[in-house]
Amino acid sequence: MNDAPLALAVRDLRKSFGRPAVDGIDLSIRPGEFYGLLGPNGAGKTTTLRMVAGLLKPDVGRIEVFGVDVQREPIAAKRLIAWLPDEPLLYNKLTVAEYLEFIAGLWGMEPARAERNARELLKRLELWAHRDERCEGFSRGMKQKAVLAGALIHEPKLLILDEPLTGLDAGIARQVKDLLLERARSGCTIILTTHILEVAERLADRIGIIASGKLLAEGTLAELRTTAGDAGGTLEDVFLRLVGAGTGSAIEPAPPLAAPRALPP
Amino acid sequence: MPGSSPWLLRHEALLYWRERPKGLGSNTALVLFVVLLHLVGLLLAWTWSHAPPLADSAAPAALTSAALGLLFWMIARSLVRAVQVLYTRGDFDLLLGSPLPAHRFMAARGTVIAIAVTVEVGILIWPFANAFALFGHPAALKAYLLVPTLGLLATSVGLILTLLLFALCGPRRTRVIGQVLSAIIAIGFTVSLHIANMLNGPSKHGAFNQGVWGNTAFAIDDPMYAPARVWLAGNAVPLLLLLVMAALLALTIRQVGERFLTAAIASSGVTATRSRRPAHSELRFAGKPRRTLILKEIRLLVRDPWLLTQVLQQCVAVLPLAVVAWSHSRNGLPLIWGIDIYLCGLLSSSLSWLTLVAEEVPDILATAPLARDQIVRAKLAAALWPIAPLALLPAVVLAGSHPWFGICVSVCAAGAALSCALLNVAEQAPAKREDFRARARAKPLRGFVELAIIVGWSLLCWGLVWLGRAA
Repeated sequence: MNDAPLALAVRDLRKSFGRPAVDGIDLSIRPGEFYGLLGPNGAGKTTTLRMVAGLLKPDVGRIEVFGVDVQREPIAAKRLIAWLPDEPLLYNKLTVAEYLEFIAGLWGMEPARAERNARELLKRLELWAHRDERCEGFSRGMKQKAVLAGALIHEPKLLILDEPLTGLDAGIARQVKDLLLERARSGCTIILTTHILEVAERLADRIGIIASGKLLAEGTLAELRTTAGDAGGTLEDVFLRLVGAGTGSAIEPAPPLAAPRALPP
Repeated sequence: MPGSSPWLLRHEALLYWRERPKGLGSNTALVLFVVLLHLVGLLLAWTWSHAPPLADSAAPAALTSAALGLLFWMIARSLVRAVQVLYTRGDFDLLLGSPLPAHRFMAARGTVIAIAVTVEVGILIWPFANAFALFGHPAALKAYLLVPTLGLLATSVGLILTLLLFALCGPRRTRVIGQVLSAIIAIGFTVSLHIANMLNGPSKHGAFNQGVWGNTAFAIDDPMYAPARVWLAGNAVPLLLLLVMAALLALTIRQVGERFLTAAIASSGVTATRSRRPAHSELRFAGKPRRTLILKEIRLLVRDPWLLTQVLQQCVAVLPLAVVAWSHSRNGLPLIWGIDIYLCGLLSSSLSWLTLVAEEVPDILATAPLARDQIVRAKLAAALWPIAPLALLPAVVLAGSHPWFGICVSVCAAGAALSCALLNVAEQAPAKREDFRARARAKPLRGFVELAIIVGWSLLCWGLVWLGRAA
């Protein structure tokens, strides 16, 4: 039996903003796992992750990151976590290099290690040539890469990403996906929310589907297919079927595309 | 009718209303503010009615002085608004993509800038006009014509200035330079008016009898006062002047509108400045959390020229007070050192608001493995360090002649700075740095509390000095 603590253990998590936003969620994510959290808008994904990152206090429930209680030992827990919000928020008047220096300073990193990591990340994300430019001149994609570099510089054990690929072009999205897969392979636990189901299908080891603040289903794509009773369905089919059943607003999966009609000669 | 000029004007006016600062922007607070101004105006008008009457020749000088001051203030505001239209709204793509003619948008937008500038100034002037009219000065009601006239003129000038900046400096720099220029215009003319008035001495109506430049370059019957004399002569001319200025604005919009739209499109997606640091410098990582936080705050401040000018504007605005304090110095212990306490409190309030309340990316700090106290202490230090020389100045300068006095002023200046900064620690709701100017309007009560704190420390200083002398 493996006694190693879970990377993330969430028990009966609840949060209400007048109406329940998160309504009794349980999650168990193993170290090194790539976990995709899917759900329609307003399902409670971001609220759940903000509570895990220590940005919101739960009304009820318990969150442990590698055995560290997020509420009782917030600072110890935060050392292990990196949070990447959906909007790439940066200090516009700082250069990328200064931004990374700032993040490394906040996490109290040893300078040589911080410098090595920064150099590697900037080169990996093709930001090296822009390291002395202020972020205010960056495109959304460049900002997102800079924020990702900031999230990874302190070598977090748990990386939480909220819609990291929104608004990125194909090239930058590929860079980000490759880097995330690389980190997952090297042992970093990653939780990702996305509306791009193809991304979750390709990257995630396991997928959780939430709606109306509740976890509807969880497992590998094959397990989800079984749960949804849709053996040959895509993740989109499975997602729509499960969310529809969970919220009582069933959306029929799209029929398969018809073969293209031959053009008249 | 949708798409018509009145419909667009209504849309623009609605946006202007919704973009007003919160807090004071609430209808009740606004009404209370106007009522308060009326009460102050009534008190002033009552005092005025019991004072010796003005010389006939004084009114044109007073009107010219006031009108010039207001005009430059309004030009500064219209410049800010025109720059905002260029950079902040970012809705030109939407508007120009619609099937409506582009000149209609510009006409609506230019008109709303004029209305906004007029209302912003009028709300401060008209209550006094009402009060003076009640106390037998009906001519004061001409302010209802004068302020819109100046507003229309200022908007024309503001639009042209913005376009000139755009042509001279390019889209990248226009935003910052425009904001800085508006601050300089506002500072320059506020200060010049005040200092000229205050140097005229403490005699009642001294400023009005002499005018801004009354005892220097111009005599009271100088032709430069002629427009004011004509204005005071009857009602037809002010009305005519208002119409002329409206026509001038219409002409300006017609002439520069298209270029303004081109500039707006060119400015979309353009940011203010690039780093001036040489490219390909080496990475430097040597920071502990506290040092890193302080360095970050200082970098963000010094790299924002607009914010710097706003902070410095507050300091310069104290200059007239300093001049008065200097001219009333006695017993070898100049009152000007009292200004030091005031300035320390004021600067500390501004800088600590920027570091503590206007944190740009609160999520980063909230997820960092640092206790809140640690972050707050570092941010307080970042706000207070730049003020330290100002607080220490009295102790150093007066060490030889009045050491006890110097120490008292320094201690109280430091106390005022710390107290004002601590007020911001309690502030829960984060704000944007762009709201720096609006922060006082959003929370007027806070301004009073700050003032009370500064007055408290000044009184303590006076008490300590008195005790020292008694001992």
